[in-house]
Amino acid sequence: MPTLVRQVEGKIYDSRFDDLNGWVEEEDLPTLWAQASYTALTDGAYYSSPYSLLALTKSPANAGNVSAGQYLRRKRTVTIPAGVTSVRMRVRHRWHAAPSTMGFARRVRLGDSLFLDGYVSDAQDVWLWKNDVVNTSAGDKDLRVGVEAYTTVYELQNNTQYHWFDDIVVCRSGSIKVTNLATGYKAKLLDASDALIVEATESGGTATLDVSTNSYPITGRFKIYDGGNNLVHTSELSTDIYGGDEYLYGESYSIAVETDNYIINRQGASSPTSATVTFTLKDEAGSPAVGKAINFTTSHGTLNPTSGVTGDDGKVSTTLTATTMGVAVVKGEWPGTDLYPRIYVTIEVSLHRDADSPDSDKEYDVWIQGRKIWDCTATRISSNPAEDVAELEIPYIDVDVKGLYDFAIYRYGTELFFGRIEVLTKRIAPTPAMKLQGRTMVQALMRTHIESASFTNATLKSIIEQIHSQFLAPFKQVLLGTISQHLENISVTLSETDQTAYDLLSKVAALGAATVSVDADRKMHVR
Amino acid sequence: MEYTTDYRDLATVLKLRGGQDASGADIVVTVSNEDAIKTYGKRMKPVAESQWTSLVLCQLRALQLLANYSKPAISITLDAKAEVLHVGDSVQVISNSMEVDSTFTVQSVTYEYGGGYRMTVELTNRAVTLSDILAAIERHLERR
Repeated sequence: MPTLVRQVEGKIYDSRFDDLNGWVEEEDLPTLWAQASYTALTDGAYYSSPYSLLALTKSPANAGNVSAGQYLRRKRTVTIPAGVTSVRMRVRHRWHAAPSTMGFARRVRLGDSLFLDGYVSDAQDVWLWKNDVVNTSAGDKDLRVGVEAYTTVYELQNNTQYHWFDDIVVCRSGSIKVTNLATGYKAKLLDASDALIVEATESGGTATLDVSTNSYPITGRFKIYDGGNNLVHTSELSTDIYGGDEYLYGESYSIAVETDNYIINRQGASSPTSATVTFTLKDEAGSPAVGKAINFTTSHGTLNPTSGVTGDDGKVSTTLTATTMGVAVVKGEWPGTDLYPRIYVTIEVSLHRDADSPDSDKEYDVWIQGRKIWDCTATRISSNPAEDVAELEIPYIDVDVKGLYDFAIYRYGTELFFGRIEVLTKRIAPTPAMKLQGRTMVQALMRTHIESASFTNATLKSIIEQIHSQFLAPFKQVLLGTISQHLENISVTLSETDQTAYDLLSKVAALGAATVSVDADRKMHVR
Repeated sequence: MEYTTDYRDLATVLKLRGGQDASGADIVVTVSNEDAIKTYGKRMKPVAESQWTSLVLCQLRALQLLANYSKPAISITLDAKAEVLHVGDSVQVISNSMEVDSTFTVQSVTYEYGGGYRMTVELTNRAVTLSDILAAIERHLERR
């Protein structure tokens, strides 16, 4: 069945000014003006829940005059993708003067291009929209939002002018393309209540939907109709549709991933210090896709190579290494073709500082991501039939300890617990401290999704082994441990959909009066 | 002040099994968050809520759930002195030592009397109240 996949993301930058992450203030005003004027988030402007950006200019006594060209604004970097020569921008803005107007204009610039130039001749105390095309070029550009004096502004004690900005968007264009459509096909974009936003019939295989007057992001979904006006595809509802998005309608390949190690140590530490991650690409018929280039990326560490071509078996590999601890999400993506949509898959690899080296003389020894924690004020492990939970308290804030890191607890050198940090609490008063909590790797079973699985007249033991080898072994987070021998004596026929690995394993285990557990060595037992 | 990051419910792909539509067909919706997948990998969360008997409602609900689950839940507990905060209010928190500069919603307010007066405020980064939802709808309508 053909699907609709976004090949090109239209969004370049989008902010509702509910935070100022990445924005820095730029100010060129006379000293006393600068002391009284500022930019900040504010919730004082109507219909801008919860915040907008305020640039407030105020004239104190004896402040002198502001010269034309002087400014007060916020700046951040926006990266324009390769090949883009113009973008569509939108921003919402309003202003208010008290008691009298000053010659400050609301201005938004992208690089050297002036996008918004809002003078005091605009209506006051209402939100105004600016929506236009801006010429630019690929690379990092400064996005500036604020006010600039367009004439000399004379001092007038306590004269104040407010300028608000909200909902700023930079996107590739004002249209959305749906490609690879057969002759006479039509693409429609509908909102969440199924009302038509825009539609277009293909021309040369591409339907171009004009969304230049819409505000972004658009919440909606696409419907594809054939030449006889029969509905052939309905996409899932999306809340992040932007101008410049490009979607491809076509049959989908499939991609799978596996690693030889879930845990590796940083370079220079104990072996293993690398993980080989292998991707397998198959075509729409399920046969290995040969000679296809796969791009590799990681959220942490280094990959070598960063791309590769699939062999006769549809497989291609890359090697992950790192010099610092962390958690790497390794992604392999086939960019697709004009006929086939892009597809990707991810896998997690945990990067430790070094192999744990527990002290056999110590009653309790705690290691987080391969790093010894010297001062644990409390260590608690509680077990119940469903899960083991461990809690730690550290009498300081350790900035190197992060969520989803692995942690292990040893007693006289013997591993009692291995899991991942799931709850991390920092306290700064009355004394700094950290509290950590996590569960065993049984959680890996609980977040692994099994879309469908069928077993015909198979023993419970073989079903459990198949579930592990097919859905869990490629990720190496949970290894196969003991499966009770008596489960070999019971055969069943089973077909399940939309289950977690844990739920499916538990269901199978229950048929033989057994339970599923994962021990401190990450081994899964069904007994 | 206590700053807690909770990853237990984190999910980047959410599959919502709703009820049945008017024709008796099962409604199943899958939504994913690509930005969150880049950070946390594909983490599936299957959810079943049989009260959703139209595809659109089921999809909206799935997106609402994913918006909550695709980032760690953050809660902040702090002592406050003024009675100016109410459940549902937005609060901007800036703390260099906690490396936080973001907006949160007041989830609960606790007053303790006797042996000295104490007010504790709990903040969250997740939508918790009806007013949050109404504010989001109002904002969405206003943006159209």
